[in-house]
Amino acid sequence: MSGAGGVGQMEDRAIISVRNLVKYFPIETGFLRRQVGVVKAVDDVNFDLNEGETLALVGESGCGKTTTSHCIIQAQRPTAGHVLFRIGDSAPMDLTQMEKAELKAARRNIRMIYQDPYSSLNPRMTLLQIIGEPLVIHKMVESQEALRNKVAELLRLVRLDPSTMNRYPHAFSGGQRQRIAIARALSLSPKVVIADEAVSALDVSVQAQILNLLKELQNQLGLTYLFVAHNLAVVKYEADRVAVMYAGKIVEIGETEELYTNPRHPYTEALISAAPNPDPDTKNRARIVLAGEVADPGNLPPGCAFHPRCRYAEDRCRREIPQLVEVGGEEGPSHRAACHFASELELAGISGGAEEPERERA
Amino acid sequence: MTAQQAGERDATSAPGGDAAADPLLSVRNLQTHFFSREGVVKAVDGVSFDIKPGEILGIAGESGCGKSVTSQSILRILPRNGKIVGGEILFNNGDRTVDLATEEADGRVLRDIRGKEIAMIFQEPMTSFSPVHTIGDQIIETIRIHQDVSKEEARDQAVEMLRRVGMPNPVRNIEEYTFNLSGGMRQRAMVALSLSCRPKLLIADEPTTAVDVTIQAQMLELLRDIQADLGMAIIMITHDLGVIAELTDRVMIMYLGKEVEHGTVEDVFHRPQHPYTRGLLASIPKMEPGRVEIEPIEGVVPSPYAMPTGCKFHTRCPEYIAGVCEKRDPPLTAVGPGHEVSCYLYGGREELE
Amino acid sequence: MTEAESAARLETAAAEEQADQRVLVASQWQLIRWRFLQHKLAVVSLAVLVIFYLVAIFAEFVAPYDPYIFREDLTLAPPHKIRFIDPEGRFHLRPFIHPFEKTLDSVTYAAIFVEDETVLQPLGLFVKGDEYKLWGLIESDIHLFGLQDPEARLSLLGQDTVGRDLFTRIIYGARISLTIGLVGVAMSFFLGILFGGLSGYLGGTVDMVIQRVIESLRALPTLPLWMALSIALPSDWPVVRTYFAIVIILSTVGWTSIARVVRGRFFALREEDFVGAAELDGAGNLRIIFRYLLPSFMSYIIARLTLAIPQMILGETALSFIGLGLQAPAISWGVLLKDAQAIRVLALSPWLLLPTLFVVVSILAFNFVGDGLRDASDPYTHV
Repeated sequence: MSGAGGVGQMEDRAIISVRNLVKYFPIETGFLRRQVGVVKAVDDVNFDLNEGETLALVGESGCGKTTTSHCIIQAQRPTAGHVLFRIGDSAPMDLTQMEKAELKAARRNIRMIYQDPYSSLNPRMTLLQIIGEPLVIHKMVESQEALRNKVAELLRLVRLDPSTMNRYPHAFSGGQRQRIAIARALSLSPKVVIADEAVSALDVSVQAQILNLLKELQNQLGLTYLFVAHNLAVVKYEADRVAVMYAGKIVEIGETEELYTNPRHPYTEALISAAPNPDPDTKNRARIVLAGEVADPGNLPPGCAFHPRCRYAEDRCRREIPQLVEVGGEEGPSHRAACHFASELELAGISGGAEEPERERA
Repeated sequence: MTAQQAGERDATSAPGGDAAADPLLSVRNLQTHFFSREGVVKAVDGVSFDIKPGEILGIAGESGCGKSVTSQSILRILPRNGKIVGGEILFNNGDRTVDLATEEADGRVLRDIRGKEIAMIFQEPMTSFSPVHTIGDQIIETIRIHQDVSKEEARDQAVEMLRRVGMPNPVRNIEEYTFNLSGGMRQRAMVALSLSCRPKLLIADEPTTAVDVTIQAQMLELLRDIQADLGMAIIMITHDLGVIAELTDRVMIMYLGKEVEHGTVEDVFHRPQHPYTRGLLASIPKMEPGRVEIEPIEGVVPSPYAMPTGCKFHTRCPEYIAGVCEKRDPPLTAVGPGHEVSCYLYGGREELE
Repeated sequence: MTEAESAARLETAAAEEQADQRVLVASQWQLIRWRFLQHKLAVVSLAVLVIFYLVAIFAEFVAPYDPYIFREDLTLAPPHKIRFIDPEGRFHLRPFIHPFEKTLDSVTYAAIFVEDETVLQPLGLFVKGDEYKLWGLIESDIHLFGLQDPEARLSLLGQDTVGRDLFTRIIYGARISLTIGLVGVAMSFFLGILFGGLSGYLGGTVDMVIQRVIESLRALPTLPLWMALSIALPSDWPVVRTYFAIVIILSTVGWTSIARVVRGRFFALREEDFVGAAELDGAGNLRIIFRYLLPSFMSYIIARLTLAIPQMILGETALSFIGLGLQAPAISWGVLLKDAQAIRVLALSPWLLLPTLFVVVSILAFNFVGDGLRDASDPYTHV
């Protein structure tokens, strides 16, 4: 019953395919909870997460990136759409249609790391208990001895001293706690790890440690990451592909290097331009400073949600919602953008993408 | 020792400020400690710096380095268990210089200076405003506390200040409450409030940390514009070296309550000398084309209750010299004009022998 | 339940491991204890409470007399002065008293108690006195202290209106007054966690109904409610049954505030990432409640409960004082205070108000201990 039926094909390399994902939150008011509106947190999102890659979901607060990740792991049930998941050559399963027991099994393969390492670890449990919890719940260990060995192995994997396994989280710093959270995520040997702003709360020197650790673990264990973040420089370093979200929709998705050097959506261009660069020589560069604020997903403007802040906006943008279409040409990797003028605008990426030779666009 | 050396630093030039001018604020060997049941935390332990009129100084470092405590010490708004136990904070208040470190925290002198001569903006704009008064009321009240003007004049000044910070409709915004404003507008209103008395020095404590990148860009642009416009000095406190590079003239890097390196932004970012500064810069992912590897600093920040001896960074330092670094605090050593480093790689080892 | 069993086995094994390293492996309760011990007033208060409860438990032994044996000749006798120096100015290592000589005022016919300085009655430890059965089991006539002469009576805190020893009766009263708070709070605790937990965990309609019931109960003025309920108690019930009836009456309102706290904590904790992580780990509802939610606020709840006990004590005292709670021959502090209702008492026998002092001291002690526990119960905010 959780089979994918006819809801869509998965690409060859995809381990997770998100199809027409929608998450609306009703806005209710008064004693009788009358619905007066709807927050379109995630609105028709489609993408494939390929096996072994790191795909970043990037955007500002309220863009729906976190809700999307929660809807994939079914921590929040989507309003509509499908999340197809496939292990190896088996038939795709639709996570959105699963019952509790099936979901419990599927979640062994899709794990999550949270943003705040202080609230994501139960302060009343030792490392052994925290990291061992999934193993105990899924009955993956036979004995206390086996559990201790497994937890020790996991701690070594994240470069923590196994002799600390009887300590409580309060004995650890933020970076170490995030290592503990990673160890917990890896305890069931998952295929996919969703990292929800997993390094955002950390200091830069520690953040770098965790970023490199995640990469090493990916190589070592063949993991697939969905990396949710707002920091563009971090995403640039960590991700193979990037999906930029704005007001519940993906506005641009493509390979990292291509997207950063040759952005095709004005919002991507503005994000790249706004990211502070630790190089004083770029102090006086011309920046694109977007006016106004992120669109309210409870009260979206008509047409392209970005048009009130877009310096290239024209009449059409106010009327018509742009579709996410291929802009990368026939050959080469896919690069898609949701802008009516994606093929006409010359947008600047890092080091000035506009200077690069124009490509033929379909 | 540190204080003496720092005292000789006045002659160094500052590109953003008037090189010939006396410093507006001169912090000398500041020591601020926190006393708790668990022990004493030396949050700031001998920090010295100057800021000249119109200059933008950045103070950068990771959490626990003492950058925010430094700013709280200047305005004497420390938490109750925090005390300035040593050093001077000399503020050049026009005709006379006052030592903010020894004045009474709630005394006349500090109340006059706070908000009027030195203003502060915070990470969370809502903490600057009362939710039950309009923005206008609060700006007008601030103006009238410090200036002898009529209500109407103060109101005109408030509208003018809201216009300067880019509020879309100042005459209407003045009647609004902060909870009606969006996050970005609150930030602007907070800047307007802090600048309403035209302070000589603005301290910005992580004002862009909690906001989105496009709002951060707006904020940085606003600070640049308003500084060019009003000419006040700014101390920018942040953990984000990108923000430092974008905004400031000079920068001081701190680690565990100590100053590790200090110089112009160009010197510090292009020619970092201290292993910690180099490590910090190497651990930030860059917005540059192609693959740029990052190198984290190894280890963890020591517990504030178990500080290392000697150079605080020696436990994580890739260039640690055994038998030297853990002995004593390294003195500040000049490595270029206005560029000083506190590291035995560059001198100070003679004094150990 | 193999899952829970294996989890429990793992836990105990982990717990045994913890003994050696201190702070780094300190559990929640250890951290709480360390912080609590730093709260001096709370520690002193805790010591006071421990002494009070020990005295209440061993009332028959600690009290020098039988609470029901009266001495007509000593009706409303004042407290004795405990002396070390006799009229000749000689110092005695062992304290003594002069027994009272009762005379009548020739004008008012009021009793006047004068110390007979010719007689010295020395005090002693472990003296023989009235026979008793400790907890109804152990027969004895040894008392912790008293006069060495079993026929004489030591009036430590004065005698009551029929010549019973007030100190003895305060000690016996402590037994009821102090335990009624504990039992009442235990009941409130049970009801509060049950309904608060249901409300917070299930939410929706259940939450709404429970909350409205709580609001209705809280809207009733407590004293009239208690009065109404206690009038309904048959007056011929034995003491023990009345006692439990009173506890139930006191708990009818007491549980509501605890239910509110539990509900609020449930809501807040459900939002914590570690609870969300546990759900994604595949933990079932019961596991989440008992392994994540309850341990996280148990310390806080206990602190709240400590603060709730004084209310129960005051409730019993108030009810008994106005004659609607326990009735003589039961002995509680409230029953004792009933004797002090007359204005005459205040003027002539002020010692009959002394039970108030014990009520005040025990309530303050509970409050200080509760404060200390509350401050200590969230160790993670400070570490």
